[in-house]
Amino acid sequence: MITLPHYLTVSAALFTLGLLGVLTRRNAVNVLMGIELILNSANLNLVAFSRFGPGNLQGQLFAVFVIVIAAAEVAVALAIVLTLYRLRRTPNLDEADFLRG
Amino acid sequence: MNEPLRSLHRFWPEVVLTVGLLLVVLIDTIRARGRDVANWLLTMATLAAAFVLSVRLGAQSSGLFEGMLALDPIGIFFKLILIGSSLLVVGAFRFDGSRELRGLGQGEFYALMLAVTLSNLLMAAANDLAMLYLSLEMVSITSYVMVAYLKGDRLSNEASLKYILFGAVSTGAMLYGLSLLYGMTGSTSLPEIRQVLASGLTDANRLTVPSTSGAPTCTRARPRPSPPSCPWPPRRPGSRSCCGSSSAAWPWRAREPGIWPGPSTGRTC
Repeated sequence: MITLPHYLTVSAALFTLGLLGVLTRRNAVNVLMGIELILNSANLNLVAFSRFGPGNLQGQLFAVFVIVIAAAEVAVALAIVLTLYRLRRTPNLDEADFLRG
Repeated sequence: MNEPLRSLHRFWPEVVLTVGLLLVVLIDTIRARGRDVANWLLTMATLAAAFVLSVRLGAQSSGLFEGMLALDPIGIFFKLILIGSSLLVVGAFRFDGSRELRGLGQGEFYALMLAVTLSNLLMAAANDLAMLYLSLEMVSITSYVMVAYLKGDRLSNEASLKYILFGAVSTGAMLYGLSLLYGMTGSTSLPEIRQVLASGLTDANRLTVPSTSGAPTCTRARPRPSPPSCPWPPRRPGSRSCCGSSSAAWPWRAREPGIWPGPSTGRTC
């Protein structure tokens, strides 16, 4: 039977994988995918807590809002990455080093 | 049904900012010569109206929209500061004479300023984790766009990219923490979270209800001939749970010991 700790374990694994992707990837699109993993790990937590918790729908509603906001955020981020690609002809984050000081 | 209407009467600053924002976007689509001046005047008038309406709210304290927002004196104080700051920025900002800003659409800037002011007002009044997250993200996304306002400038683009990456990661980590807070307290309402946390962790047991899982619990239902061996964590005196002090901090751990074996391999609960 799938219980709350199973969900929490998967969520923690997703969070760790997302953080690993953000810290190790060079391609900006891959970094955004890592960010999505982090946000979805929180979503999984919220839905699992709502399912096994006091029985209210606050967690599930919160997760829906997070999904919507994450979509908007990624749309803005992709537009900025597209501008970066237009200016530098590369999506590589290592080459965005004008602000290095 | 009366609650949203009743709340709307004390929500006028935000309503005025929303209407002003939509009007600025509409005016910006009209290709008339004086649209930039009209947008500037409309933005200043909207902010001034929101400031006056916030002052007229007075020192009342109440909840709005079923407790999603809170109206109190300190919130109104911060609203006034935020609207005043936006007034100063819009009043002092000049597109004329700037090499970078020449040729860029001014209506976008005024619309973004009104949007970030509206989001700030919502954040100052947020009384729920969902509202807090929504308003914070609205401010963040608007700020990302404003940093990338100089489209052809490499520095602006790079600054915006780094801002959005750092901001999104930190928001994700914060959201993960908020989800754990919801799991501990069983509510997203800030006053309810305060009540649960103030009454101690023993009240954060709502997630331990085994109605759906049906998993065996650690609590002994009948006396055993010998106590279970729990070398770690140490068993508290008088505690009926063989999981010791960890069951208070992580209540569901005590209910399903097979998932959380921990260092105590010889546990027999």
